[in-house]
Amino acid sequence: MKIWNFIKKAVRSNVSLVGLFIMLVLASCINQNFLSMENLSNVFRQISLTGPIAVGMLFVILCGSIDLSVGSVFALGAVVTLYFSKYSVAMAIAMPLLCGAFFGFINGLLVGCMKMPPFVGTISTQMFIRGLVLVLIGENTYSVGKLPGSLQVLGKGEFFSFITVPAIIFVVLLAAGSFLLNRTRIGRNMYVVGGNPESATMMGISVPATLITAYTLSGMLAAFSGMIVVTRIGSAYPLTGQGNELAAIAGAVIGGAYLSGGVGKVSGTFIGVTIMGLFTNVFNMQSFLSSFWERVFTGAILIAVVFVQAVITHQKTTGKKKRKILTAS
Amino acid sequence: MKKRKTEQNHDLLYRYGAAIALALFTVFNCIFTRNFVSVTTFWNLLVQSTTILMLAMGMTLVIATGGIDISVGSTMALSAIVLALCVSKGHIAAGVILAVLLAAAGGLFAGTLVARFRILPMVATLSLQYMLRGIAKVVVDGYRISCMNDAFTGFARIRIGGVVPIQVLIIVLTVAVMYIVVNRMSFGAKLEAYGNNPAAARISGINTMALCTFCFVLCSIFASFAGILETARVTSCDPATMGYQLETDAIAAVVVGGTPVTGGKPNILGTFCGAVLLQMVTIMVNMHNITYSYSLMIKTVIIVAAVYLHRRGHR
Repeated sequence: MKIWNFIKKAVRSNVSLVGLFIMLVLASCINQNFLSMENLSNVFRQISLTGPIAVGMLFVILCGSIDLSVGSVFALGAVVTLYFSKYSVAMAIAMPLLCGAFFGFINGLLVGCMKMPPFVGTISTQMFIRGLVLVLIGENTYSVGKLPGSLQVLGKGEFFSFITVPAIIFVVLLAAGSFLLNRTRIGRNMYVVGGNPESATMMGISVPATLITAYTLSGMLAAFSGMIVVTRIGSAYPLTGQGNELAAIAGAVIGGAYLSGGVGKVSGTFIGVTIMGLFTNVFNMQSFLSSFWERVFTGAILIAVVFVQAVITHQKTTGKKKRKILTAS
Repeated sequence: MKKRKTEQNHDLLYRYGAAIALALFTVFNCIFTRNFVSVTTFWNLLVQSTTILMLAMGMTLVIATGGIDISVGSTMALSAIVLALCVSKGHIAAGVILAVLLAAAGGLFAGTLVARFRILPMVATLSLQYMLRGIAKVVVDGYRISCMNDAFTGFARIRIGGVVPIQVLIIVLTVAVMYIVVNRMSFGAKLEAYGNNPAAARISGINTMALCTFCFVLCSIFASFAGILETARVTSCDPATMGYQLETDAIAAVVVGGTPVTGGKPNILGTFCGAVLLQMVTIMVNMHNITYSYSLMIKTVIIVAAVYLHRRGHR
């Protein structure tokens, strides 16, 4: 009975666990090799490369906003890492993080202080940074030859051949993110700002400051992810990172974050990112549908999850299934 | 009653801001850009801005409702692919109808999600963008479709009186029709009311669900028009690149034109000026031999400046 209670509690706090379970079952039905150590460690390796972006996106979504520029910041992080790898490893790690933080700060200014709607503000930043990347490295793949060994460890290092350095860093980031959201004032502020900005202001929380913090963290994590990927691959294509914003939003939303803000967890985001990673893995392993279908399914999954979220939220706020008058359309 | 000075200023800025910016840019280019002052450039400017203008016309309606539709580029691609497939087999009319219907279906889907289920337009259209682009690629297996059908491609090359390209006529007709619909018919009034205050509009008896859905459908239909015109002009269609990232240009045109981003009165003439302005930026960048990437940064600055100025005009 105790185990059953524990399972019930875990599922209730993270409904996406059910989705994960279903995905695992489906995947092992489709492919025999799925549950092998090698495959699972592959999956984990993949998700730890772009997982940090989803964590950053979670912070922004919690504040009730959205950050569409993460794909471009990812590319910028990659390019900056490559550029500074010629000078010193310390700079190659610090500079992308600084750039990501800077552009995240700009996003925060646009959305928080200038009060631009998030989609317009972050789409503009996305365009600007993409232009910047194209200006910096032109239209061809950018590479600087062999990267210094210590940088390569970041992307390619492994222990026991299935625990990779990016995976370790991802787990550390998850723990740090969870700590930030649950135990620090800044993190708790994000929940309040997303849940009810007016209350936040009345309580003395500065909404612009919280937004700026969230966006800066999101930018830093996106640039960090770009850095990790580029140390693994060794070169950067100027249009890289497109589509990362959708994957990040999907990861956070599937993990239970409400797009209206105020609800979400790091553990949920981890589960969401894992589900998306498993889905990609399963999709790549099957040969029934061409690879173009993957995008269709990713979009469909996101719509389905958001749809269910909308229905549940609507039920929660009105207590009834539908109300005609007095609800803003 | 005489309006206060700030309100007068705001009205001026709102109605003519984009036109003033366009005039300034034109003057700047006439002075500083070689070969700018020529009839060819003038017609080229208008013809090339057709795509953005079509997209922006539909986008104006959606932004006026307070939402956004970033799937227009992918809708354009899907419509264009379907059209190209039909045209390469010889059925032009069927292709056009099918393209428009498919786009309308996509718009209906997005509109229903937004209006009825109250999903954030951002997310609904972001997912739709992915799905539609994926479907477009699936339909042709990623290949580029060329449609060398003389009747079809000849249409894009018609010049009225030997001088005016047909796209200009299409632009003028579209802007005129949209202006009448938005400013002289009740649809526009309802749209403005809904954009300013959705709850009040609903209580006043406006069928907000139908209105919102209709705007999304119209936006997708305009996107399909843009796809049709572009395919006719370029005579081929690549599912990966057709309409790629054009949604940001469309949004920029609308924002520069003065339609409030949070919803409100759609400014059709402003969108027209915005679209031409953005195309002028692209041409200017080309003519000065600056790389295309800089135009992205310039456009961003323009968007941010436009939002800032319009917002300041509000206060």
